[in-house]
Amino acid sequence: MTHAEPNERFTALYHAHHAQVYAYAVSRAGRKLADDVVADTFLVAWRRLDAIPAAPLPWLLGVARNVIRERYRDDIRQAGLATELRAWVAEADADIADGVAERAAMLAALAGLGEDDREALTLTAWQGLSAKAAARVVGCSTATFFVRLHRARKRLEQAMSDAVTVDRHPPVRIPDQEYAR
Amino acid sequence: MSHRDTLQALADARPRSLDPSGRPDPALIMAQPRPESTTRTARRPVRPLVLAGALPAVALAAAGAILLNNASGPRAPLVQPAVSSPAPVDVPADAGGLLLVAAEQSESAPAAAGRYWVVRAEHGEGTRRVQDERWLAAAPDLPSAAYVRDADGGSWTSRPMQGHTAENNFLLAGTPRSARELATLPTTPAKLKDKLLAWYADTGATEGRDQFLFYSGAALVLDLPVSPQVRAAAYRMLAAMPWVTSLGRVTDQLGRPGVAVTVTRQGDFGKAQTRLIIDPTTGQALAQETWVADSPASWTAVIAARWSDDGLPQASALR
Repeated sequence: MTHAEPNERFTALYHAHHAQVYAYAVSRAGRKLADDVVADTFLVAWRRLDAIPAAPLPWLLGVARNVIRERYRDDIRQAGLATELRAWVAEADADIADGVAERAAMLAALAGLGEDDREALTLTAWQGLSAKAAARVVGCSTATFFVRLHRARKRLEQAMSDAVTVDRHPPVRIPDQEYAR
Repeated sequence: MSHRDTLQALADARPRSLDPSGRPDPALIMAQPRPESTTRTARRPVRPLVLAGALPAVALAAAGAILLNNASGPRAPLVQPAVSSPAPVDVPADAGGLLLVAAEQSESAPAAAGRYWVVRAEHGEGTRRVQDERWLAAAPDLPSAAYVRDADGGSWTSRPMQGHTAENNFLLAGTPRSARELATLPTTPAKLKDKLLAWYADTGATEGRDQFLFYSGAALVLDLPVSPQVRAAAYRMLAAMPWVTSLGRVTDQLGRPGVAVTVTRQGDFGKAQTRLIIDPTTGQALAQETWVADSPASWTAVIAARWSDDGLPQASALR
């Protein structure tokens, strides 16, 4: 193998998937940690270039998922994520385009779901992954992922219909730089 | 709303913050060594997926890493190559010594209190920098607020901090503490450590005890409202930790000279180093920085921390 070959393969991989890995990292750990997560994920990819399958995205997101779990103290990640979820709603609220109320309500409902539900929904709706690919990311069977996605969608719909009674700005528990950036 | 519509509506609501502001050059990653083959090292049990990310010991040494299990004791200050170092000689070379100097210097600061603990700081992550001034209520029934602006200056924008009260305003190693809890912290290093360890047990944190103590100690000296005596006790507690090592003289991200102590977390792939930078002449902690692969990944530099009895200011009144 020449030296140029891995460099070219990695560069292509990086440019093709950087934005998707970043988006996943933000949705799992908040934007404050996202750059670190992405850098570590691609460092693993660089070192394991020969092991990357033909469809790299589920593999990369699976690595990112492990990076987040292994590297960050859970409270740090949760604080980053809590800030992120609030920021989504606040930023959607501050937007002046059409359909803003619905977007903000949707994001508020999403923020209120459990982490597994949110992951199943965002892998599908935001990353555009098939159930099979998303199942690879989270490490379960395709059938199990279908069930998870179905339940998560029902809970999201329930949260949307409850939205009138939901406090969009519940008191926060982890006050780490809580302003919405 | 049908299921399909729900997912479509969710897709439409995708926040813009999921998009990266830029794409760092992949050459930075490709400059890292690549193993010839992914053979397992027997050093530590790690999960298969991330195994190959574990840095070989040689790479760690080349990168100037300081591992947590380094022996304590005096050593030459390890100045990172990227840092310029004017070299006066009055600072102890070892972490314990310089933390004890910081303890003595900080102890003589005047005690104070007020209705608000006001912290102005600059935060950086990657290429993004922002300044904020947080007005954290330390007395009951007061609202809290944060003001933010671009790090290069400009006008301040007010951001209410809903749900923030004197009961939960102060973050210590990831858990919120009340102004009262901080005000009643012990002033001897041993008792302070006992108190923190009791909190550690309560939080059920999965991280190591040593990490928890370091982050707690760093927060107490950096930007939490505690008395000079508690701050000095926190420095002394840190000074007694053999896994905290000295980097000697460094410059923080605002260009302020100081001395740094550090802990390094060795994850399954690479290391992250947390630096606490201290002004040795005043004992004032200046900044906390996280370094990954020998470059600063994120940091907080405290510009000023003070008490105030004023009410929340208008954003336009901030300079």
